[in-house]
Amino acid sequence: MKKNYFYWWLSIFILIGAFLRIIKLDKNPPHLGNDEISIAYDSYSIRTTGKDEYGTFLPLSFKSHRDYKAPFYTYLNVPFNFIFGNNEYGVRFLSALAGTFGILLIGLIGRILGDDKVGVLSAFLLAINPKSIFVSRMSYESNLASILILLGIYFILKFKKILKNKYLIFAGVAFGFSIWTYHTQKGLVPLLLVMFPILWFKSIKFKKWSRLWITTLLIILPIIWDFIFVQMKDPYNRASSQIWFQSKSIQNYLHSTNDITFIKAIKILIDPVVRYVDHFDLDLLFFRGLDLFDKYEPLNIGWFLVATLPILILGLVKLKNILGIDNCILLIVWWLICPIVPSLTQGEVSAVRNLSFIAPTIIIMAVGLSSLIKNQRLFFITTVLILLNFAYFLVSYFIHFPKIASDRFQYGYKQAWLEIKPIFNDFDSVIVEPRFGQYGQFVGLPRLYFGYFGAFNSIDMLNRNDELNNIGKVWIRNVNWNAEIVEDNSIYIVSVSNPINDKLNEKLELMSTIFKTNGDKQFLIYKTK
Amino acid sequence: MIKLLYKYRSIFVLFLVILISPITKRIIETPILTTFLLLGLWILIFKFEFKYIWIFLITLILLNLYINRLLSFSFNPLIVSFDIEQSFLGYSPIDNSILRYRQEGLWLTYSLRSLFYGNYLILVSWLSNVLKILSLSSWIRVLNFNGTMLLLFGVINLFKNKINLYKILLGVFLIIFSSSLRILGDTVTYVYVLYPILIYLLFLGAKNIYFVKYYYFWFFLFLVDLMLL
Repeated sequence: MKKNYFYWWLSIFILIGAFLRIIKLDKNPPHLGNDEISIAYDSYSIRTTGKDEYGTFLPLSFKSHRDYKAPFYTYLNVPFNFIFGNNEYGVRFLSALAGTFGILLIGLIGRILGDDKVGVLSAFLLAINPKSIFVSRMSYESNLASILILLGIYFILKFKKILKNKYLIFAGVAFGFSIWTYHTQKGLVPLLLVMFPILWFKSIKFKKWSRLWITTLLIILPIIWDFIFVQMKDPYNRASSQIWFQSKSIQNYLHSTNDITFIKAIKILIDPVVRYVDHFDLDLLFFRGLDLFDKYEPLNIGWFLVATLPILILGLVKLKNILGIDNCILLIVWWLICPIVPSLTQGEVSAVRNLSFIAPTIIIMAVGLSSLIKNQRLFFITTVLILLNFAYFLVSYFIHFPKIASDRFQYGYKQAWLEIKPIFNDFDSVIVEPRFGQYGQFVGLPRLYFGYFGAFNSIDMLNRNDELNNIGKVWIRNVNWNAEIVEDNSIYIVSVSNPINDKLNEKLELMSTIFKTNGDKQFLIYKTK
Repeated sequence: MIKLLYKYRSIFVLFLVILISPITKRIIETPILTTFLLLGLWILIFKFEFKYIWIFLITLILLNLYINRLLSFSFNPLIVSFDIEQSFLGYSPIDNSILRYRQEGLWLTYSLRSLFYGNYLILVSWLSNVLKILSLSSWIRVLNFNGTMLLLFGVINLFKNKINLYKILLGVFLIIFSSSLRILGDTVTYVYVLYPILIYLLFLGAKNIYFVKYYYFWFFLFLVDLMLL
């Protein structure tokens, strides 16, 4: 392939990828999710006050829901929040941009590891990859972090190619900031920092790598300080409770067993091994991984399109021939180490924690697809099947997924605010229930949604009364109608499971109903007569 | 004794793998006649030429459906029934999903909707179950870590020597496809009908040169599996 053609094709796939990641960001997913609203609010709060929602000045980790979010995404999002304002684009656009940048990077990495064809096909396959599109359309820090990892790997490959030390420093910066972006990278980056020197120990002396290690270390020093002196001091911090041996099943086993210590150790250590193997579960990778619908629904989609399974197998078979033994080993080791750190956490295999796994898998698939180019008919049929499969993904994701995803994204708080916004100043108090869902079974974060979309400003949030749960004239609490003293000039936004009783009909009237995307009721809005 | 063990190490290793595998328990629980019938059918498949084995394969599939409780027989009066509700073919939540897609899919005209959201979508859920069985984690559930390692070596050897390769592939895929018709089943039952093939592949694995070279790694896995029992 001529050099010009490489960049032409790459540009086309970047544009397609950008379109798929940016279009209708405010409509799908239908509402900002739990983590998204937290990042969005903190970004807005940092922009306007320099403090997070808890009043910490320029924190190195955002306490959020006690998960102490890595800070880079929130800080990097501040200019986007300024440009787009407090809406969905103001928090999701950065992730979409990062996902699009990933297409460029994977194209360049594919070209270095293989040839132009592998590069272009890698870009094509990533542009239409369901998992990449899914995470790029939400403000996932892990998406940005995985792109920074990809950037670091690109610089290291450039270093290997032209042996200029500046690329090691660039790589160190990218790896360092990936640790600033997501917790999983704290484990993955050290593995990568060791992987390259070991794989290339014959051609590059260990001493040479010191620039990479020192740069990374210098950049992450503040994060290490914050982890030890801030996060670890909070006994309920989520990061340390996510490690696999803290899971309920293991703790129950430890408390109830009479096994000797050695057997106990084996049984505990085998747990991450099983989870590691689960990361290669074909059903998860190709049919159910995105978890869009219930388990057996036919329109469920995996992390990759099922039509790419044959080219993954073919890629693994042809890897050595097309990439050469060195790059083949590099790619396989990279592929195999990605799930190690996510396997050390508890719970089911997570589509978010293991995002770095996408890139090497896609390159292997691209190798498989490029090996078919000689047989034009087979190449054509495979590409058509992939595009057909992709069409089903588009329908599944853009048409059907928003209809069933309301509760998952706490749908309704933004809509409720927009409903009362025109009359907000006419009332003295607005009471919002944090519970939602058909039976009021879920608990949401109305204070962040109302704050972000404009019911009060970030100063009001900092001056909130946590005991009374009120911010300005917005009160966040569940309502018990039997005990409620209804004051004049009040608005109530309550879960559909909690309509007023007959006794209150004289005082309150139904102002509006907020419906979910599938037409079911979500919130009832009452105002005093 | 040690010399004897060394001479017959493949059989010894095979014995150890089978001994602690969940599939052994399944073989013991199943009527001995069924176990022998299965063994006989697989022997016939190996013995006969490719063009004659279809009759045995069909019998094997019917037997597999019976073992997976999808097919039931009664002889007096002769009744053969297929439990469609336990299979993907008649599982109502999937039918309801397809119906919902058609109602929601207003971007297409009515006639195209029944084509795009056709009942063939059931195949997707079925294939998902097939891939679940083919995944490494399922084989670990059936053969433990040590058995899975041996199985992988066995498959490599099978592809190298190609003896009965196509018969085995055809048989294995037909059994897995028919087993995975059942929605809720356990992995061991899904692959139980394959036990003669599994034993054969494990035996091939025990003869693989890499296995012989790194047998201590297998032994380590075996000890781990033993402790996890």
